[in-house]
Amino acid sequence: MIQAPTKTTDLLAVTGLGVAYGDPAAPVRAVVDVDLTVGRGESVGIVGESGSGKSTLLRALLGLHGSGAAVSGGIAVDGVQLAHDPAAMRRVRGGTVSMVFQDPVNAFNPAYTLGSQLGRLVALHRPELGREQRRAHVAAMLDRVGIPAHRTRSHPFEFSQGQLQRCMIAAAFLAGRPALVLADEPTTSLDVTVEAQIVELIRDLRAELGMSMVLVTHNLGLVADLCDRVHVMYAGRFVEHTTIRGLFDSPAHPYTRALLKSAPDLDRVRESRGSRLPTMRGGVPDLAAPPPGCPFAPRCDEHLGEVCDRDLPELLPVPLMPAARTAHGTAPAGQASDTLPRPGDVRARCHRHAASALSGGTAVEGVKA
Amino acid sequence: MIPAQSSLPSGPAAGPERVLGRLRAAAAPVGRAARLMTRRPAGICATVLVVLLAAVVLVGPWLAPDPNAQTAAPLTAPSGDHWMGTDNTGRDVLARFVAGARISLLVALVCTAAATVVGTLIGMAAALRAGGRFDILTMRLTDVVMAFPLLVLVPVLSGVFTQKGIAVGPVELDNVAIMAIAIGIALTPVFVRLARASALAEVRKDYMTAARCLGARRRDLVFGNLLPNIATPIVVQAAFSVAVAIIVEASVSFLGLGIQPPDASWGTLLTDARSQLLLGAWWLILFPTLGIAAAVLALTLLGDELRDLLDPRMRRTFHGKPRRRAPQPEAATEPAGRSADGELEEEIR
Repeated sequence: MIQAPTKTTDLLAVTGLGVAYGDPAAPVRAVVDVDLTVGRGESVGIVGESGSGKSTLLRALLGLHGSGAAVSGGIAVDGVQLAHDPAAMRRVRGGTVSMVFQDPVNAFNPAYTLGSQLGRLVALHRPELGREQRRAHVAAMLDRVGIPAHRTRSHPFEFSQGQLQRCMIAAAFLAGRPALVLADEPTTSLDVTVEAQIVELIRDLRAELGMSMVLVTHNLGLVADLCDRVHVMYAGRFVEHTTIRGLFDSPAHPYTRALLKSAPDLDRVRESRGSRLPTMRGGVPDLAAPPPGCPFAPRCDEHLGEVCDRDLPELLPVPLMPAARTAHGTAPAGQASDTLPRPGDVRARCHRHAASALSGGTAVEGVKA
Repeated sequence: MIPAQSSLPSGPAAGPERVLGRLRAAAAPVGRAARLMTRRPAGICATVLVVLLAAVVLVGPWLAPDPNAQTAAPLTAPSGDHWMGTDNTGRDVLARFVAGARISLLVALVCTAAATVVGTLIGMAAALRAGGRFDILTMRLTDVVMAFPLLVLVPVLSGVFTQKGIAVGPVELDNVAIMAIAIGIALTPVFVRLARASALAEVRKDYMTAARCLGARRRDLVFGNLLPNIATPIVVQAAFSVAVAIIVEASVSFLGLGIQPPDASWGTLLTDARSQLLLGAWWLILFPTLGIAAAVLALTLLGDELRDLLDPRMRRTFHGKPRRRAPQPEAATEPAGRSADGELEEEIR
């Protein structure tokens, strides 16, 4: 699944994106120097804890940051630069790029019935359809996501959250013909069983329609289910880029490892009943006055000393770890090879890797989560 | 829910039936509104009073033609000939009451309508540029206007306008129109503030962002998405404002600073009545007072009812039954054929 997309086929190409809020003299830099490419049909996850800037990043991609935000860098969809061109941005919204929101209850206009809202969307993106065709299209959309057609006459408050998220997905995936769907924590507000259904629905629709997706979440399981590769975000920067296999089997950045450790795991919880779940100490640094060195240094368990506090590490390729090389040695031949991270797939922003890369030697030890 | 469709036969419909269906469809919202309004005692009360007032305004002139004809003996008590008695110059009080109702209600309705539209537009524009120069200027201006009591502001404004004389094209505005403009200006800030405050709360909500990111145009955002969601408090306020406008007009006219004799308004009727009260002419003061009280009560109740009716959540309780046709088993909405458990395991691994 992992392929280095060539420049011409990149659906989304983000270069050096920065989003800063507030006083230009002392800005709060919510997103710093982010590079992101998404190929056609590809699904990319962005994970990180609350406040890491992942939602801000996603909204900036569609120009939905508030008027108080300063956006720098480039956003190209289908090779067209959008970053500083509101008109081009507006043409792309909903048509080429659409979005699924975290909280479906607030994402629908409470004043209209669902049918009229979806109908309006369809009219916007498929102006060639007549009134009856539009109505039929809306019914078909709802039917595809498992909402009975007669519910078009209901107002949003008459639906459950899970149903509304289905409708939201219908609006994002089926109203226009998007090539890229941005999903902002699409299952966070849902309970677990409904979440599973929504995940399934998204996966089916993607398989059916072949659109690309950028999924922002703090749920690592969701990333495992829906994404091909993943960026880990911390304090507004990408600190690791890896494959799904790489994320779970050989996380390269100390933050990623800590994140994985903090995710509750049923087996582990059972073993350690009564004792505390592992947590990460501290919190996300103040983005208005970030530390000069590695932003994760104050919370890092694998702190190297002065260099971590002083210098900001680069996002560098990580040599494959012994763990990654051996973990799937037992996998049936020909099956795991395409999901295993290959050299260059994994990059991390950490002095440890910089050091090991310089020494040209083997990877850092003791990193298996 | 739409009678036009359910009442039509499935094949090609005959002409008259189709017309009838169309008519029925067109009348459906009115009928529904009427049904909804008459569910509760307050609503019935408001509806009856509003219909009565409308009847007085619309039909009244045929019952009592000339408000200034001095056709009877002065100061006669209500009787079969003169239902509301006569005043000190022998004019029929009913005729003057009806003419006064027309002017009072016309002034109140016109000025409130204008204030609502203008105030809402300005308020929304301010909210969309919140913190900008236009917003700040507008807010300070509303502060200034709201700092004056209505009873001071309206006579001053109408005095100034009367002095200057306002002409719209070739038409010189008379003092009724000037009165309406003055009250309209005095009422506008309330709507500006209300629209701005409601809009500020709404533009931050996700559905506005969602509409934007799914491709809605600016005009559609403002009038299609924002306006319907801030309309409820504004419509309710408009109903109350009509009541306020009636009182202000009556008060200002009572003080002799508004509508000028011989034009009748409920306020000028009260002015005339004041000097006759000691002579025992109670009917002169009773009927205009009742008129004002009834109108204000009607509009206040109407405002209260509208507040509930305009909330889509309340409509269901008014209907008393859910609007969907058949109850749908919850299972029908889930995609069949896969248990959630396998998914769950994978999720947690």
